[in-house]
Amino acid sequence: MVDLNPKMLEDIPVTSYSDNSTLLIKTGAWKYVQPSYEDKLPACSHQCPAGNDISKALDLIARGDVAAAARLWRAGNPFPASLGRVCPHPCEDQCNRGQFGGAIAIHMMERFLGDRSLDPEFLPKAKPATGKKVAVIGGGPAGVAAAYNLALAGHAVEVFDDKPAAGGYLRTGIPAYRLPKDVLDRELALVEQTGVQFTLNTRVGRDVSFDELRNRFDAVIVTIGFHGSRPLGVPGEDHENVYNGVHLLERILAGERPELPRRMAVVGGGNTAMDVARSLLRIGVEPIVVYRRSRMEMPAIPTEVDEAIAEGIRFEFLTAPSRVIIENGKVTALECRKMRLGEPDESGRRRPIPVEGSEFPVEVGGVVTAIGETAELDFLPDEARDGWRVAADERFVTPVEGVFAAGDAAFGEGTVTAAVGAGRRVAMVVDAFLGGRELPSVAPPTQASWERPVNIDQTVHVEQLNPAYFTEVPRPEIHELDPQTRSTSFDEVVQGFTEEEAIREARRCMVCGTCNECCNCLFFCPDVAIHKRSGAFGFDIDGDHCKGCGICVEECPRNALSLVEVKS
Amino acid sequence: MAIDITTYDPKNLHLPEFDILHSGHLACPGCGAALGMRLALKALGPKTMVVIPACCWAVINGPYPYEALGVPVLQVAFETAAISASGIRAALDAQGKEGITVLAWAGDGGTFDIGFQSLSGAAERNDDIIYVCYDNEAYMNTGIQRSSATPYGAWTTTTPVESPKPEPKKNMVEIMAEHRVPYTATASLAFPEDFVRKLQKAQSIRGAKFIHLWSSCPPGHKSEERYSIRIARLAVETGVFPLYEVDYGTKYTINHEPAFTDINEYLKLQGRFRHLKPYHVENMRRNIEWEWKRLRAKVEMGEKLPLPPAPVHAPVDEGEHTPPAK
Repeated sequence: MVDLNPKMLEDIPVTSYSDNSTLLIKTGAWKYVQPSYEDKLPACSHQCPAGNDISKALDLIARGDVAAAARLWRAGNPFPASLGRVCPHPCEDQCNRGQFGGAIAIHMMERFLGDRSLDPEFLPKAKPATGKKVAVIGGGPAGVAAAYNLALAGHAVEVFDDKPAAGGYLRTGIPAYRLPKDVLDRELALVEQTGVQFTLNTRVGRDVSFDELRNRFDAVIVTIGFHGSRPLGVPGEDHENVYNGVHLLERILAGERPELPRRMAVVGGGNTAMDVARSLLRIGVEPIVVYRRSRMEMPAIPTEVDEAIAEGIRFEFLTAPSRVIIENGKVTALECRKMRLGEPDESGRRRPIPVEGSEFPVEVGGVVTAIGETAELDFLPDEARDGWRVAADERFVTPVEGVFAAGDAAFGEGTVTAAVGAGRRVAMVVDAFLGGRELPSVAPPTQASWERPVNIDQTVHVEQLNPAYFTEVPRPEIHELDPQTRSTSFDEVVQGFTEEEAIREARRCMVCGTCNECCNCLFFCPDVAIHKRSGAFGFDIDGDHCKGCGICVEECPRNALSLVEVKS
Repeated sequence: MAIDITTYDPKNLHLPEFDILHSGHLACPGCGAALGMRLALKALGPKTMVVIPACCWAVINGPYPYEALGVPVLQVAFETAAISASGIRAALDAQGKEGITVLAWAGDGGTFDIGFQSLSGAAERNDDIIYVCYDNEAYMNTGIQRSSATPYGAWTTTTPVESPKPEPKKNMVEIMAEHRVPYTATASLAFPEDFVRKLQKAQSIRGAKFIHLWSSCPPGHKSEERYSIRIARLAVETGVFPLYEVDYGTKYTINHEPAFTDINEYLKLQGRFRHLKPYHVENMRRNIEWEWKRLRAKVEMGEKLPLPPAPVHAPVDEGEHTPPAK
């Protein structure tokens, strides 16, 4: 037996021979910093109003596990198939891949995963029943998202809606060429599978009183959205051929084909204006979009504007209506004034200023207004109202005990995606309220509901990645129906990804801030101190031998490790 | 489903998963030589015998009675890495043992300077060994003295900032290639797949093989430990250290076309270059340009030249013995 601690020279044999492993030497004691695996928020998820776990899901697809990815995406979001079609995808603007060949087509991936998970087996497992009851007023995206998450948390949820079918703006405001109605129906059917009860054709304040709901339920969530239209404020707008854009769209989308003039002006530059104009085109009306600022300032989703222009819709920019011209009881034209852009206003966009004496007629037989919507709050007690919106603080809590509010009616974010995110967040707050836990000072961000741990205070932008491990790969083309054929039908314009296309695209994802077991940390460790977990995801760091050099942190392509100080 | 795996980005490393090197070795944090040995053992496998002369690795391997390598190691005198490896090969041959790789693993001092004559001898005899020089560009183990591998302008304790090293680095790969050995190559820690492939190619060839591995040294280069790989990568990408291989001293192949990143990106991460004046940097830049012209000319020349002719063997004895002519 060799003496492991020879004290005297005589203890060492003449020909010294070592056969004890240095594993016995704990070099880990040298370090003052140590690496630790810490997933951070990728730029895309940081931007996602609905709180989707994009990087993890795309990594699962890249490995070929589409089912797991679909399950993950549907875990807190009841509308992936619908959102994949209608979301303005702010995630893609921030995608770090943008500088390496073009942003990942995240909205196409969401749609792919949504279409793949239209089956109850993809629903998450609900928690045991709590016996608490929640009423949700308004079956739009915010209300349904809240109901879905609360039902999965074990609460009994009932959704009240005054329409014959739930879905809110997804049903009444978004045309079938963007969102086929059977997709929405199937997603709502899945929500019902989680135990959410829909009480339709029931308007709170008319068919059931608000106070009754407060008595019957432990919590009430108000998610009524925007369904009133703002007036134009010009003479002649009470004529019967001047239509409210939201209501007209609702009728067209319900399948009605009202008698309309051959040419109509659509006033506004938002998504409702685009949806109205493109829907009118499809039922044989020639729309002319009248917008008071320029293309740059349009609040509509840019690709919707591109598609409308491709379909041949005429736009009158820097033009505002001043009067509806009526001759012999009929609308003959919309008198407009030219505008110029001045200083930026509180919305950050440049304020339009009328040009004196520039009046000119736009010859149309009718006008549709789509210049913004308001909430219809008449059923609420006074203290729960704050001007045009429901009074709610940053926790979605209203001044009325046990009543919460989210979505457009509370904060007016204006997109379905933001409404879904608000639904997820209000569900977390209401769940805490029902569980008797202390409410946070601000509603937690959607990402706080993720199952995997992630440091949501740190966002991974392109500067935090290691560019040595990424090469440029171009963004794939997205297939659309030909503008000539699509402008006469309500068939879906954008065609979805096949599984092969989806996997190919997922492999372009840089999986920012999210460990994907690429093994760079393991391969570059000079001390062999990182080991792949057998039979489980991730790695273990051998603290007894890690010297804290930090190479693994630097060479992680996606910033999924951090160096932390060693606490003595 | 047909998916083109080459579009899978990021480019994941594909390396052997097993490890022979043990943790607990005594390399400094962020040591390039330790990572180099880890990769070398991954590439060559357990049937390897290693010769280590006086160099950092003589310490890294652990004090008596410990060792980190997990394969037989012979620690020898400074100038004897190559000749000891040759001796092990001769002993293996005498015992009729085959399929064992003999690796001489020496630093730049033991290769460029002190061990040069024995290396040249082994190359001339074309002894069947792989000689890897892990080059950290100075005598780091003894306290950062200049070697003939130290680059132009670098600070060492014997080339202080008042008079940094005026001569460029010795080009060891060309010298070894001119011995007409079957295989010489350069390698970098930042390109581990390339290094592993070169070692495995060397393993498959009989004869003397020489690999020059550029190795980061945080204490000697005065760099941050975590930047070891980044600096090694920049050495390649700035053109300071080209990645290439040479077959039979003739056929030169460039393995990685660098981006020719601004050399300051490489220099600014290392304290040993902090004192440099713009004219020093300009001299470096010009030297890189010249070295690359030479290298490209050699690639071009190699394309025109054949590999060495196949040897003609003595005729097979055909029965009756013919005595030599008188």
